[in-house]
Amino acid sequence: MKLILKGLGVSKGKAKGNVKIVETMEDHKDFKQGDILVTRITDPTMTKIMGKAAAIVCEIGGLTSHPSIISRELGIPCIVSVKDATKILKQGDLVHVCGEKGEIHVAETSIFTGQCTCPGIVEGKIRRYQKGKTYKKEDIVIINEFVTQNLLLLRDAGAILSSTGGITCHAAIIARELNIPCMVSVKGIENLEEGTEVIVDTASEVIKVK
Amino acid sequence: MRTINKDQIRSFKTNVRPEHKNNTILEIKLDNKIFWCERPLYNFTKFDQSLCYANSKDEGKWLFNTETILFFDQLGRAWFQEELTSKYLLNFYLKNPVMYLNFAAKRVNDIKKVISLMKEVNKTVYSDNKETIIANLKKMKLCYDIFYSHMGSIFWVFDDIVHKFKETLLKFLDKAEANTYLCEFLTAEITKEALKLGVVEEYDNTDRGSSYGSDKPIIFHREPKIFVESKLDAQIFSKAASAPEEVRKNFFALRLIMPAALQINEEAQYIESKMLSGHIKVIMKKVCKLLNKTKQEIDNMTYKEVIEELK
Repeated sequence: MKLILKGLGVSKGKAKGNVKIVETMEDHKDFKQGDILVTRITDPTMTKIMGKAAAIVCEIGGLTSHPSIISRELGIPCIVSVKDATKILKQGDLVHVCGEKGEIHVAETSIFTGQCTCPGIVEGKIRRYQKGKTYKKEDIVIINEFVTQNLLLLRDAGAILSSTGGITCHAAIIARELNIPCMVSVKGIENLEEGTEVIVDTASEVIKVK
Repeated sequence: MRTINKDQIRSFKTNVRPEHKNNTILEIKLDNKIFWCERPLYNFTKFDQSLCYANSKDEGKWLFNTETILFFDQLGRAWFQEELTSKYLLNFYLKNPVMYLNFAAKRVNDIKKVISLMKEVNKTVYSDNKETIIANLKKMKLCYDIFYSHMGSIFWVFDDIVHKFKETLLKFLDKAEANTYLCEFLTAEITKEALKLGVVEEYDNTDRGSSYGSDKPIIFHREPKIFVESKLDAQIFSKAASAPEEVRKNFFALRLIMPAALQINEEAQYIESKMLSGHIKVIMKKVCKLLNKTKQEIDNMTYKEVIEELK
């Protein structure tokens, strides 16, 4: 684990979970039980998701501010005054939050990068492309032969990753047209094993192994 | 055809296309002029050289009012004078984005003519009547003349325009915002139509002769959008406004031309590989039969020689 952020610990305890950055009410919809709530500052509209959070991290605030009081009530760790937390932490980062020390550690993960051809953030399991097979939203499909005819079978996949292809190739444009998050020229992706859990953020051109 | 000495050729890689997508460019200096071969893996037959490239040299005249030279070497590779290379055209269009829009407007009309001509051919494409076959071949020649009259602007510079747009966006936006915005424009009207009809399959990319694509003579079309709007425009424009002058200038030039360039390039790829290829393949099979020659024998003739023999 790597220490990346420090702030003021205002509620004791330790928690581990995936970062969920909340900036608008729209972000509340995807908030899952056990996520680490990262935001500028909490307010009463967030009470519901605060109840699901494993820990809370805020960019501003002090000992008596809203997140501090609520987290102590809920018995979950909370750190406030963490400068630029919403910028430095990324959606889906696996982090450890230590309320006593006011420290946030990020799990060292394998990270792959490539070129985005259709934006989207998807969590799922790695699946290798097989001709004739159908795929579901939770499947992140690795395809070696990145050609258009193969893409038509991937309409329902969560995301497409390829070690080949460029942003202007036909298949990339088809993926964009079908609105399937897609990254091409991803080096080393072929080494990922079937079933590996990953978080893909194509717009940021990052694939993280959970 | 011009025989060139391979020892005089300089080879380098472009970073706008991945390795497996033919990213080597060749350069040679002949008669004090620089020539580039942008697709060294594409070898054109004598027939295809005369069918497809007759009008390509006129692009320089249209853009800069100067004669430009192109030639084929002993391997059938196409070499274009410096003014029609991707590097030169990118710089030219960055300084003159309105010229790209002039070209795009002309292209829309050109393609209307090509589609209209192909529709005429399509009515009798399976005919075995000699006169009809000759008439169809002549109409297809007209299609190719119009279709390949702007090789540099449609094919050579396209990847560079998209790459430069991304590079420019990254100078004033973070990666996620730059990619999200770029992807707003990685879309083309003709792709929607091709998907609707289920005709998106790709072909071997090392062969780009007149018959490299489909053998089904189909026609489909949807006019490209030259001006593509994005819901993100307002926020990106406001960030661009505070970018350094050079970045801002490039951004606005590329914002104008990149979406159109993608639409025009995609349109060209589908017309080339599905429609032109589909029709010419059927016609040339009939020509081979009429002249009692193999395809290889026809490939070693010019278009004019084929027409003469047919008469």
